[in-house]
Amino acid sequence: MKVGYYPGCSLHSTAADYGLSTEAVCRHMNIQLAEIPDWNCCGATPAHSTNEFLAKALPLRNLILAEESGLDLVVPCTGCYNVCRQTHGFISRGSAKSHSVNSEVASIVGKRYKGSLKIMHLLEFFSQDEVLAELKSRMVRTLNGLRVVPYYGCLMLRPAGDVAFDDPEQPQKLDRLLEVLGAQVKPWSYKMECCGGSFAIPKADIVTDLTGELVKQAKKAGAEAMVTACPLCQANIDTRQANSGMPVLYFTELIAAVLGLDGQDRWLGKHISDPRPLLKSHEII
Amino acid sequence: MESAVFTGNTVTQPSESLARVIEKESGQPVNRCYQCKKCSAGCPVGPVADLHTNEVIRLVQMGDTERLLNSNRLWLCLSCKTCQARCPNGIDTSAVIDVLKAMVFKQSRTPAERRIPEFYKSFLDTVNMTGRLYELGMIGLYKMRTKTYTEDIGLGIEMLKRGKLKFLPEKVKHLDQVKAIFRKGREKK
Ligand code: SF4
Ligand code: SF4
Repeated sequence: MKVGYYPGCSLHSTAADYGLSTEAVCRHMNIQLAEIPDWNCCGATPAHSTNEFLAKALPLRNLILAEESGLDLVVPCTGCYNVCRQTHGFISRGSAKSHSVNSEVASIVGKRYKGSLKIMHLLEFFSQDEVLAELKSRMVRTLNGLRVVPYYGCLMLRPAGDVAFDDPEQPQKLDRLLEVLGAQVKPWSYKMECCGGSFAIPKADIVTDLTGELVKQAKKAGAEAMVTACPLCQANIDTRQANSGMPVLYFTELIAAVLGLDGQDRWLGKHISDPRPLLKSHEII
Repeated sequence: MESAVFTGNTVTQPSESLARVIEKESGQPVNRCYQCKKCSAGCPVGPVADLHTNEVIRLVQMGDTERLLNSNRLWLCLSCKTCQARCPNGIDTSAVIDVLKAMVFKQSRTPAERRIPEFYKSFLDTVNMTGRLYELGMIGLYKMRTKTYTEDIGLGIEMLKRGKLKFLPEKVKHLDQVKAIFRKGREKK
Protein backbone atom coordinates (compact mmCIF):
# COMPACT_ATOMS: atom_id res chain seq x y z
CA MET A 1 0.00 0.00 0.00
CA LYS A 2 1.28 3.44 -0.93
CA VAL A 3 0.04 6.78 0.41
CA GLY A 4 1.16 10.39 0.19
CA TYR A 5 2.75 11.67 3.39
CA TYR A 6 3.02 15.17 4.83
CA PRO A 7 5.15 14.96 7.99
CA GLY A 8 5.10 18.71 8.69
CA CYS A 9 7.83 20.57 10.57
CA SER A 10 7.21 19.04 14.02
CA LEU A 11 7.85 15.46 12.98
CA HIS A 12 11.36 16.47 11.96
CA SER A 13 12.04 18.21 15.27
CA THR A 14 9.98 18.52 18.47
CA ALA A 15 7.99 15.42 17.55
CA ALA A 16 10.87 13.40 16.08
CA ASP A 17 9.68 10.47 18.25
CA TYR A 18 6.30 10.55 16.49
CA GLY A 19 8.00 10.73 13.08
CA LEU A 20 10.48 7.91 13.73
CA SER A 21 7.88 5.56 15.20
CA THR A 22 5.44 6.30 12.36
CA GLU A 23 8.03 5.54 9.71
CA ALA A 24 9.20 2.37 11.44
CA VAL A 25 5.66 1.04 11.90
CA CYS A 26 4.71 1.76 8.30
CA ARG A 27 7.90 0.18 6.96
CA HIS A 28 7.18 -2.94 8.99
CA MET A 29 3.59 -3.12 7.72
CA ASN A 30 4.57 -2.54 4.06
CA ILE A 31 2.86 0.82 3.97
CA GLN A 32 4.91 3.03 1.71
CA LEU A 33 4.94 6.68 2.77
CA ALA A 34 5.57 8.88 -0.27
CA GLU A 35 6.61 12.22 1.20
CA ILE A 36 5.22 15.27 -0.66
CA PRO A 37 8.22 16.56 -2.60
CA ASP A 38 9.54 19.90 -1.35
CA TRP A 39 6.69 20.52 1.09
CA ASN A 40 6.62 23.74 3.14
CA CYS A 41 5.35 24.67 6.60
CA CYS A 42 1.54 24.86 6.73
CA GLY A 43 1.66 28.17 8.60
CA ALA A 44 -0.15 26.75 11.64
CA THR A 45 -1.71 29.13 14.19
CA PRO A 46 0.73 32.00 13.51
CA ALA A 47 -0.47 32.30 9.90
CA HIS A 48 -4.21 32.28 10.49
CA SER A 49 -3.80 34.59 13.47
CA THR A 50 -2.04 37.25 11.47
CA ASN A 51 -2.60 36.96 7.73
CA GLU A 52 -5.56 35.36 6.02
CA PHE A 53 -3.85 34.98 2.65
CA LEU A 54 -0.80 33.23 4.11
CA ALA A 55 -3.06 30.96 6.13
CA LYS A 56 -4.64 29.67 2.93
CA ALA A 57 -1.77 29.96 0.46
CA LEU A 58 0.95 28.12 2.43
CA PRO A 59 -1.07 24.91 2.85
CA LEU A 60 -2.47 25.27 -0.66
CA ARG A 61 1.02 24.93 -2.17
CA ASN A 62 1.36 21.59 -0.33
CA LEU A 63 -2.05 20.40 -1.50
CA ILE A 64 -1.15 21.22 -5.11
CA LEU A 65 2.13 19.30 -4.80
CA ALA A 66 0.37 16.35 -3.15
CA GLU A 67 -2.44 16.24 -5.70
CA GLU A 68 0.05 15.66 -8.49
CA SER A 69 0.97 12.26 -7.07
CA GLY A 70 -2.60 10.96 -7.31
CA LEU A 71 -2.24 9.29 -3.89
CA ASP A 72 -4.34 9.74 -0.76
CA LEU A 73 -2.62 12.08 1.67
CA VAL A 74 -1.89 10.97 5.23
CA VAL A 75 -1.03 13.62 7.84
CA PRO A 76 0.24 12.65 11.30
CA CYS A 77 0.42 16.13 12.87
CA THR A 78 -2.99 17.18 14.09
CA GLY A 79 -2.24 20.87 13.55
CA CYS A 80 -1.16 20.31 9.93
CA TYR A 81 -4.08 17.96 9.37
CA ASN A 82 -6.53 20.59 10.58
CA VAL A 83 -5.01 23.29 8.36
CA CYS A 84 -4.90 21.00 5.29
CA ARG A 85 -8.53 19.95 5.72
CA GLN A 86 -9.77 23.49 6.34
CA THR A 87 -7.93 24.71 3.24
CA HIS A 88 -9.29 21.82 1.19
CA GLY A 89 -12.81 22.66 2.42
CA PHE A 90 -12.35 26.36 1.67
CA ILE A 91 -11.32 25.65 -1.95
CA SER A 92 -13.91 22.90 -2.49
CA ARG A 93 -16.80 25.10 -1.38
CA GLY A 94 -15.82 27.52 -4.14
CA SER A 95 -16.37 31.16 -3.12
CA ALA A 96 -15.13 34.24 -4.97
CA LYS A 97 -12.36 34.45 -2.35
CA SER A 98 -11.28 30.85 -2.77
CA HIS A 99 -11.12 31.17 -6.57
CA SER A 100 -8.92 34.20 -6.25
CA VAL A 101 -6.56 32.56 -3.70
CA ASN A 102 -6.35 29.45 -5.88
CA SER A 103 -5.47 31.54 -8.96
CA GLU A 104 -2.89 33.58 -7.09
CA VAL A 105 -1.14 30.49 -5.74
CA ALA A 106 -1.37 28.87 -9.20
CA SER A 107 0.46 31.87 -10.65
CA ILE A 108 3.31 31.09 -8.24
CA VAL A 109 3.34 27.29 -8.21
CA GLY A 110 2.26 26.76 -11.81
CA LYS A 111 -0.84 24.69 -11.05
CA ARG A 112 -4.26 25.09 -9.43
CA TYR A 113 -5.62 22.86 -6.70
CA LYS A 114 -8.43 20.80 -8.22
CA GLY A 115 -9.77 19.61 -4.87
CA SER A 116 -9.44 15.89 -5.62
CA LEU A 117 -7.25 14.94 -2.64
CA LYS A 118 -8.44 12.61 0.06
CA ILE A 119 -6.76 13.90 3.23
CA MET A 120 -6.62 11.59 6.23
CA HIS A 121 -5.23 11.92 9.71
CA LEU A 122 -2.76 9.14 10.51
CA LEU A 123 -5.11 7.94 13.27
CA GLU A 124 -7.96 7.79 10.75
CA PHE A 125 -5.70 5.82 8.41
CA PHE A 126 -4.88 3.26 11.12
CA SER A 127 -8.56 3.01 12.08
CA GLN A 128 -9.55 1.61 8.68
CA ASP A 129 -10.76 -1.98 8.89
CA GLU A 130 -8.16 -3.42 6.53
CA VAL A 131 -5.27 -1.63 8.25
CA LEU A 132 -6.51 -2.70 11.68
CA ALA A 133 -6.82 -6.29 10.48
CA GLU A 134 -3.28 -6.20 9.11
CA LEU A 135 -2.06 -4.72 12.38
CA LYS A 136 -3.77 -7.44 14.41
CA SER A 137 -2.24 -10.16 12.30
CA ARG A 138 1.24 -8.79 12.96
CA MET A 139 0.98 -8.21 16.72
CA VAL A 140 3.54 -10.20 18.68
CA ARG A 141 2.47 -8.96 22.09
CA THR A 142 -0.24 -6.82 23.66
CA LEU A 143 -0.27 -3.80 25.94
CA ASN A 144 -1.13 -6.19 28.80
CA GLY A 145 -3.91 -4.10 30.22
CA LEU A 146 -1.86 -0.90 30.47
CA ARG A 147 -4.25 1.70 31.85
CA VAL A 148 -4.45 4.67 29.49
CA VAL A 149 -6.61 7.66 28.65
CA PRO A 150 -6.93 8.57 24.98
CA TYR A 151 -6.22 12.26 24.51
CA TYR A 152 -7.48 13.60 21.18
CA GLY A 153 -6.95 17.30 21.84
CA CYS A 154 -8.84 20.07 20.18
CA LEU A 155 -7.73 20.23 16.56
CA MET A 156 -8.35 16.70 15.36
CA LEU A 157 -12.12 16.94 15.03
CA ARG A 158 -13.03 20.61 14.93
CA PRO A 159 -14.46 22.44 13.04
CA ALA A 160 -16.68 19.45 12.37
CA GLY A 161 -17.70 20.53 8.85
CA ASP A 162 -14.16 20.26 7.52
CA VAL A 163 -12.51 17.92 9.98
CA ALA A 164 -14.85 15.07 10.75
CA PHE A 165 -13.65 11.51 10.93
CA ASP A 166 -15.14 10.92 14.35
CA ASP A 167 -17.69 12.46 16.70
CA PRO A 168 -16.46 15.96 17.68
CA GLU A 169 -17.52 15.65 21.34
CA GLN A 170 -17.32 11.88 21.95
CA PRO A 171 -14.67 10.49 19.62
CA GLN A 172 -13.96 6.74 19.78
CA LYS A 173 -11.34 5.94 17.13
CA LEU A 174 -8.32 6.17 19.40
CA ASP A 175 -10.21 4.30 22.16
CA ARG A 176 -10.93 1.42 19.77
CA LEU A 177 -7.40 1.28 18.44
CA LEU A 178 -5.93 1.16 21.95
CA GLU A 179 -8.33 -1.64 22.88
CA VAL A 180 -7.15 -3.61 19.87
CA LEU A 181 -3.59 -3.16 21.12
CA GLY A 182 -4.59 -4.59 24.48
CA ALA A 183 -4.79 -1.47 26.64
CA GLN A 184 -7.35 -0.87 29.32
CA VAL A 185 -8.96 2.36 28.11
CA LYS A 186 -10.21 4.54 30.94
CA PRO A 187 -13.19 6.81 30.36
CA TRP A 188 -12.65 10.49 31.11
CA SER A 189 -14.26 13.71 30.01
CA TYR A 190 -11.09 15.57 28.99
CA LYS A 191 -10.52 13.86 25.64
CA MET A 192 -11.09 17.01 23.65
CA GLU A 193 -9.85 19.70 26.01
CA CYS A 194 -7.14 22.08 24.83
CA CYS A 195 -3.51 21.69 26.00
CA GLY A 196 -2.61 25.33 25.38
CA GLY A 197 -1.55 24.75 21.79
CA SER A 198 0.99 27.20 20.46
CA PHE A 199 1.38 29.11 23.74
CA ALA A 200 4.21 26.91 25.06
CA ILE A 201 6.73 29.70 24.48
CA PRO A 202 4.82 32.99 24.79
CA LYS A 203 2.39 31.99 27.57
CA ALA A 204 3.88 29.03 29.35
CA ASP A 205 1.81 29.72 32.49
CA ILE A 206 -1.42 29.04 30.58
CA VAL A 207 0.00 25.80 29.18
CA THR A 208 1.16 24.75 32.64
CA ASP A 209 -2.32 25.35 34.07
CA LEU A 210 -4.18 23.55 31.29
CA THR A 211 -1.83 20.56 31.13
CA GLY A 212 -1.78 20.37 34.94
CA GLU A 213 -5.53 19.91 34.93
CA LEU A 214 -5.28 17.29 32.17
CA VAL A 215 -2.75 15.22 34.11
CA LYS A 216 -4.78 15.54 37.30
CA GLN A 217 -7.88 14.28 35.51
CA ALA A 218 -5.97 11.48 33.80
CA LYS A 219 -4.74 10.29 37.20
CA LYS A 220 -8.21 10.55 38.64
CA ALA A 221 -9.47 8.35 35.81
CA GLY A 222 -6.92 5.74 36.87
CA ALA A 223 -4.52 6.11 33.94
CA GLU A 224 -0.82 5.26 34.04
CA ALA A 225 -0.16 6.97 30.72
CA MET A 226 -1.80 9.33 28.28
CA VAL A 227 -1.92 8.55 24.57
CA THR A 228 -2.07 11.17 21.88
CA ALA A 229 -1.83 11.74 18.13
CA CYS A 230 -0.75 15.38 18.24
CA PRO A 231 2.78 16.84 18.52
CA LEU A 232 1.57 19.92 20.37
CA CYS A 233 -0.40 17.93 22.94
CA GLN A 234 2.51 15.59 23.56
CA ALA A 235 5.15 18.30 23.82
CA ASN A 236 3.06 20.57 26.02
CA ILE A 237 2.31 17.89 28.59
CA ASP A 238 5.72 16.25 28.38
CA THR A 239 7.60 19.52 28.94
CA ARG A 240 5.29 21.38 31.31
CA GLN A 241 4.33 18.35 33.46
CA ALA A 242 7.67 16.59 33.23
CA ASN A 243 7.69 15.68 36.91
CA SER A 244 4.13 14.51 37.19
CA GLY A 245 5.00 10.85 36.59
CA MET A 246 2.56 10.70 33.69
CA PRO A 247 4.25 9.70 30.43
CA VAL A 248 2.55 10.83 27.23
CA LEU A 249 2.90 8.41 24.34
CA TYR A 250 2.16 8.69 20.66
CA PHE A 251 -0.19 5.93 19.52
CA THR A 252 2.42 4.93 16.93
CA GLU A 253 4.92 4.21 19.71
CA LEU A 254 2.45 1.75 21.24
CA ILE A 255 1.86 0.15 17.85
CA ALA A 256 5.63 -0.22 17.45
CA ALA A 257 5.72 -1.90 20.87
CA VAL A 258 3.07 -4.52 20.09
CA LEU A 259 4.72 -5.20 16.75
CA GLY A 260 7.92 -5.90 18.69
CA LEU A 261 10.00 -3.58 16.51
CA ASP A 262 13.74 -3.21 17.00
CA GLY A 263 15.31 0.06 18.07
CA GLN A 264 12.41 1.50 20.03
CA ASP A 265 14.84 3.49 22.16
CA ARG A 266 15.34 5.74 19.15
CA TRP A 267 11.94 7.29 19.82
CA LEU A 268 11.08 6.30 23.40
CA GLY A 269 14.43 7.77 24.49
CA LYS A 270 13.42 11.22 23.28
CA HIS A 271 10.69 11.86 25.82
CA ILE A 272 11.35 14.23 28.71
CA SER A 273 9.24 12.05 30.99
CA ASP A 274 10.70 8.62 30.14
CA PRO A 275 7.94 6.07 29.40
CA ARG A 276 10.29 3.07 29.34
CA PRO A 277 10.15 2.09 33.03
CA LEU A 278 6.36 1.89 32.84
CA LEU A 279 6.38 -0.07 29.58
CA LYS A 280 9.00 -2.43 30.96
CA SER A 281 7.06 -3.03 34.15
CA HIS A 282 4.14 -4.24 32.01
CA GLU A 283 6.50 -6.31 29.85
CA ILE A 284 5.50 -4.33 26.79
CA ILE A 285 9.07 -3.59 25.74
CA MET B 1 -20.12 35.88 33.98
CA GLU B 2 -21.77 39.32 34.12
CA SER B 3 -19.57 42.17 33.14
CA ALA B 4 -19.51 45.78 32.12
CA VAL B 5 -20.24 44.82 28.55
CA PHE B 6 -23.92 44.84 29.34
CA THR B 7 -23.96 47.77 31.76
CA GLY B 8 -21.33 50.12 30.38
CA ASN B 9 -22.67 53.23 28.69
CA THR B 10 -20.09 53.87 25.98
CA VAL B 11 -22.35 52.38 23.34
CA THR B 12 -26.09 52.44 23.71
CA GLN B 13 -27.35 51.47 20.28
CA PRO B 14 -26.56 48.27 18.44
CA SER B 15 -24.52 49.09 15.40
CA GLU B 16 -24.90 47.18 12.18
CA SER B 17 -21.85 48.28 10.35
CA LEU B 18 -19.16 46.42 12.32
CA ALA B 19 -21.31 43.31 12.47
CA ARG B 20 -21.70 43.43 8.71
CA VAL B 21 -17.98 43.74 8.09
CA ILE B 22 -17.25 40.89 10.48
CA GLU B 23 -19.93 38.67 8.95
CA LYS B 24 -18.51 39.26 5.51
CA GLU B 25 -14.86 38.74 6.47
CA SER B 26 -15.30 35.81 8.84
CA GLY B 27 -18.33 34.16 7.27
CA GLN B 28 -19.86 33.86 10.75
CA PRO B 29 -23.54 34.74 11.35
CA VAL B 30 -22.85 36.93 14.39
CA ASN B 31 -26.34 38.44 14.44
CA ARG B 32 -27.84 35.06 15.26
CA CYS B 33 -26.19 35.05 18.70
CA TYR B 34 -28.72 35.07 21.56
CA GLN B 35 -26.17 35.15 24.38
CA CYS B 36 -26.68 31.62 25.68
CA LYS B 37 -22.97 31.59 26.76
CA LYS B 38 -22.30 27.99 25.83
CA CYS B 39 -19.20 29.25 24.05
CA SER B 40 -17.87 30.90 27.20
CA ALA B 41 -18.63 27.91 29.40
CA GLY B 42 -16.19 25.75 27.43
CA CYS B 43 -13.49 28.29 26.67
CA PRO B 44 -10.14 27.29 28.19
CA VAL B 45 -8.89 30.87 28.48
CA GLY B 46 -12.10 32.31 29.96
CA PRO B 47 -10.48 32.82 33.40
CA VAL B 48 -7.52 34.83 32.07
CA ALA B 49 -9.05 36.90 29.27
CA ASP B 50 -10.57 40.33 29.85
CA LEU B 51 -13.63 39.50 27.75
CA HIS B 52 -15.67 36.31 27.63
CA THR B 53 -16.35 34.63 24.30
CA ASN B 54 -20.03 35.61 24.28
CA GLU B 55 -19.02 39.21 25.07
CA VAL B 56 -16.88 39.36 21.94
CA ILE B 57 -19.94 38.57 19.86
CA ARG B 58 -22.09 41.04 21.80
CA LEU B 59 -19.56 43.83 21.31
CA VAL B 60 -19.43 43.05 17.59
CA GLN B 61 -23.21 43.47 17.46
CA MET B 62 -22.90 46.70 19.42
CA GLY B 63 -20.17 48.00 17.16
CA ASP B 64 -17.75 48.65 20.03
CA THR B 65 -14.57 48.52 17.96
CA GLU B 66 -12.46 50.17 20.66
CA ARG B 67 -13.13 47.62 23.38
CA LEU B 68 -12.71 44.76 20.96
CA LEU B 69 -9.44 45.84 19.42
CA ASN B 70 -7.94 46.68 22.81
CA SER B 71 -8.91 43.36 24.37
CA ASN B 72 -6.32 40.74 25.30
CA ARG B 73 -8.89 38.06 24.49
CA LEU B 74 -8.02 38.38 20.80
CA TRP B 75 -4.49 37.18 21.50
CA LEU B 76 -5.32 34.70 24.23
CA CYS B 77 -7.71 32.72 22.01
CA LEU B 78 -6.13 29.32 21.38
CA SER B 79 -8.23 28.52 18.30
CA CYS B 80 -9.32 25.31 19.97
CA LYS B 81 -12.77 25.79 18.43
CA THR B 82 -14.68 24.51 21.44
CA CYS B 83 -16.90 27.58 21.03
CA GLN B 84 -17.53 26.67 17.39
CA ALA B 85 -18.40 23.08 18.24
CA ARG B 86 -20.95 24.08 20.87
CA CYS B 87 -22.65 27.20 19.55
CA PRO B 88 -26.31 26.40 18.81
CA ASN B 89 -26.26 29.09 16.13
CA GLY B 90 -23.24 27.87 14.22
CA ILE B 91 -20.94 30.75 15.19
CA ASP B 92 -17.19 30.17 15.25
CA THR B 93 -15.97 32.93 17.55
CA SER B 94 -12.33 32.09 16.87
CA ALA B 95 -12.88 32.97 13.19
CA VAL B 96 -14.37 36.31 14.30
CA ILE B 97 -11.34 36.81 16.52
CA ASP B 98 -8.95 36.13 13.61
CA VAL B 99 -10.63 38.98 11.67
CA LEU B 100 -10.35 41.28 14.70
CA LYS B 101 -6.63 40.50 15.04
CA ALA B 102 -6.13 41.35 11.38
CA MET B 103 -7.90 44.68 12.06
CA VAL B 104 -5.44 45.45 14.87
CA PHE B 105 -2.55 45.03 12.41
CA LYS B 106 -4.31 46.91 9.60
CA GLN B 107 -4.94 49.89 11.84
CA SER B 108 -1.36 49.74 13.18
CA ARG B 109 -2.60 49.45 16.75
CA THR B 110 -0.56 48.01 19.59
CA PRO B 111 -1.81 44.50 20.42
CA ALA B 112 -3.03 44.14 24.03
CA GLU B 113 -0.69 41.15 24.48
CA ARG B 114 2.89 41.66 23.44
CA ARG B 115 4.48 38.23 23.55
CA ILE B 116 1.98 36.23 21.51
CA PRO B 117 2.12 38.36 18.35
CA GLU B 118 5.93 38.52 18.65
CA PHE B 119 5.95 34.74 18.78
CA TYR B 120 3.78 34.49 15.66
CA LYS B 121 6.02 36.96 13.87
CA SER B 122 9.20 35.09 14.81
CA PHE B 123 7.66 31.79 13.72
CA LEU B 124 6.63 33.12 10.32
CA ASP B 125 9.93 34.94 9.77
CA THR B 126 11.75 31.61 9.84
CA VAL B 127 9.20 30.06 7.48
CA ASN B 128 9.78 32.95 5.10
CA MET B 129 13.55 32.41 5.35
CA THR B 130 13.63 28.62 4.86
CA GLY B 131 10.15 27.45 3.84
CA ARG B 132 9.82 25.43 7.03
CA LEU B 133 9.69 26.24 10.70
CA TYR B 134 13.21 26.54 12.12
CA GLU B 135 12.61 26.26 15.86
CA LEU B 136 15.98 27.39 17.10
CA GLY B 137 15.92 30.44 14.83
CA MET B 138 12.39 31.23 15.93
CA ILE B 139 13.35 31.00 19.60
CA GLY B 140 16.34 33.31 18.99
CA LEU B 141 14.25 35.93 17.19
CA TYR B 142 11.52 35.72 19.80
CA LYS B 143 13.93 36.11 22.69
CA MET B 144 15.54 39.14 21.09
CA ARG B 145 12.19 40.77 20.46
CA THR B 146 10.82 40.10 23.93
CA LYS B 147 14.10 40.22 25.88
CA THR B 148 13.30 36.92 27.58
CA TYR B 149 16.78 35.48 27.14
CA THR B 150 16.91 33.28 30.21
CA GLU B 151 13.43 31.76 30.10
CA ASP B 152 13.28 27.99 29.57
CA ILE B 153 16.99 27.65 28.87
CA GLY B 154 17.16 24.34 30.75
CA LEU B 155 14.25 22.95 28.81
CA GLY B 156 15.84 24.08 25.54
CA ILE B 157 19.01 22.17 26.41
CA GLU B 158 17.02 19.03 27.21
CA MET B 159 15.30 19.27 23.83
CA LEU B 160 18.61 19.79 22.01
CA LYS B 161 20.13 16.77 23.76
CA ARG B 162 17.24 14.63 22.59
CA GLY B 163 17.44 15.87 19.01
CA LYS B 164 14.05 17.55 19.38
CA LEU B 165 15.52 20.89 18.41
CA LYS B 166 17.87 20.98 15.46
CA PHE B 167 20.87 23.24 15.04
CA LEU B 168 20.47 23.61 11.29
CA PRO B 169 17.32 24.60 9.39
CA GLU B 170 15.74 22.53 6.62
CA LYS B 171 15.30 24.47 3.43
CA VAL B 172 12.73 23.90 0.69
CA LYS B 173 14.17 23.83 -2.83
CA HIS B 174 11.68 26.21 -4.39
CA LEU B 175 12.12 28.82 -1.71
CA ASP B 176 11.27 31.48 -4.32
CA GLN B 177 7.69 30.15 -4.33
CA VAL B 178 7.35 30.41 -0.57
CA LYS B 179 8.83 33.90 -0.62
CA ALA B 180 6.40 34.91 -3.37
CA ILE B 181 3.51 33.70 -1.21
CA PHE B 182 4.80 35.81 1.69
CA ARG B 183 5.16 38.86 -0.58
CA LYS B 184 1.56 38.52 -1.75
CA GLY B 185 0.45 38.13 1.85
CA ARG B 186 2.18 41.37 2.82
CA GLU B 187 0.63 43.26 -0.12
CA LYS B 188 -2.81 42.26 1.05
CA LYS B 189 -2.42 43.38 4.62
S1 SF4 C 1 -22.70 29.89 22.02
FE1 SF4 C 1 -23.25 31.02 20.15
S2 SF4 C 1 -25.31 31.85 20.57
FE2 SF4 C 1 -24.42 31.20 22.54
S3 SF4 C 1 -23.47 33.09 23.35
FE3 SF4 C 1 -21.87 31.95 22.24
S4 SF4 C 1 -21.91 32.81 20.18
FE4 SF4 C 1 -23.82 33.43 21.16
S1 SF4 D 1 -11.39 28.93 20.01
FE1 SF4 D 1 -10.70 30.65 21.29
S2 SF4 D 1 -12.60 31.60 22.00
FE2 SF4 D 1 -13.17 29.59 21.20
S3 SF4 D 1 -13.19 28.23 23.00
FE3 SF4 D 1 -11.13 28.09 22.06
S4 SF4 D 1 -9.86 29.62 23.12
FE4 SF4 D 1 -12.02 30.10 23.56
